[in-house]
Amino acid sequence: MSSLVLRIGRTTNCVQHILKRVHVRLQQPRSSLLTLDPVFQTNHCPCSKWAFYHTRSLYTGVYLCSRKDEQKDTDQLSVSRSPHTPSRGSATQKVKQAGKDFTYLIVVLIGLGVTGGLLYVVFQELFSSSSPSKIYGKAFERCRSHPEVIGAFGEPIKGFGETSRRGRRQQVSHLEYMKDGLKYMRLKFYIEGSEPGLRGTVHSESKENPETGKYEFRYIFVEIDTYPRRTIVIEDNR
Amino acid sequence: MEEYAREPCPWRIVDDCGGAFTMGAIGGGVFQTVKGFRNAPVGVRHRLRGSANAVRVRAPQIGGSFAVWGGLFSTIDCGLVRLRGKEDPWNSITSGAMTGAILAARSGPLAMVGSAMMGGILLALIEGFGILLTRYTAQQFQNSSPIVEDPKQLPPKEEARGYGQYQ
Repeated sequence: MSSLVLRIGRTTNCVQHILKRVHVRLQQPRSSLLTLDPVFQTNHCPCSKWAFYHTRSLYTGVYLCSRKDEQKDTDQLSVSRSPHTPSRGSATQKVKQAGKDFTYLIVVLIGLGVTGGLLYVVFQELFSSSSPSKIYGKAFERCRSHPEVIGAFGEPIKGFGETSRRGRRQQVSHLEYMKDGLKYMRLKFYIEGSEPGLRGTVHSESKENPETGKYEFRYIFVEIDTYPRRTIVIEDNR
Repeated sequence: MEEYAREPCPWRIVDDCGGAFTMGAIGGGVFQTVKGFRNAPVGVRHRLRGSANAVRVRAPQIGGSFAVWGGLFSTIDCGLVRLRGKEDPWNSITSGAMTGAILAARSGPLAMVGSAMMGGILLALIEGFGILLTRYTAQQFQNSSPIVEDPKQLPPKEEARGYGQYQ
């Protein structure tokens, strides 16, 4: 009688083990599971001992084993396929990427060229000693420090160039020409002082010094545009 | 009529602010039209509605940003003109750098330096473009051989009549 009881207990445990694999939960007392887990870990398929009594259990076990094998084969196939795919696509992708990179490189080079050209023009205008802006600065300093100009216009004297459409007056009008193998530059800009409504036009001419290559003033004079009209000669080296 | 000519500087701030807003609103409207069209779900009516909504929401914001930039730039430029008493390209470049720095003040000193450099370089490019445009248009009206003589205002060391053309 005791052996029969033991057999029935083991059969119940085998069924639980199989149903666990199928992911079906039975409402069983938990203590039995906890106590008997090591037995399941040790034995791979203990229900095979009772194949004489449980044909259905044996069939289920075989099915699970075959499913595992199929899964393994599928994994191997997917693993074996993965190294092939990039090797085929990498050549095409490399060509596409090279084409894109070259196109972007051309666009970037064009942008840098335009930017470089504009910056070169600005630096030439600001820092070259023979640029109209530089000579305008020097001539304006002469006008600013001349006592007759200060007396006529009032102390804070402002200088500006031609007025553009938007009210900015930063470009002075200039004329460059060659005469007797030397470079000449004529400037024209305007000055105002604290006297209201009084405005003057400054005419200036510079000549290139053949030894130093720099421009030297040939004459600078201020022509008062409003009444009473007169001319203030600041420098005359003709 | 020259004595009634208006000093450009105080009024130019308002002009530049309005001009910058217009530029930003129109340019931003064009960009947001394309962006809204692409972001909308599939379907012609959906895309057109997406474009209209994006323009309606975003274009005033972009215009506002441009107006702030243009107004502040012009204010600083006029301040520099008054301080230095001289108008030259340095004013533009300095104003661009200072505007960039001020508008990035919330982000910290490093961002201010970066924005100042960006503003200065941008205004230098604009100055360069302006100089090139001036020279190109001036060449259209240049005569082949201008008559260059000394001006008549100067006391005559030699006989002089008239003076050359200015560009």
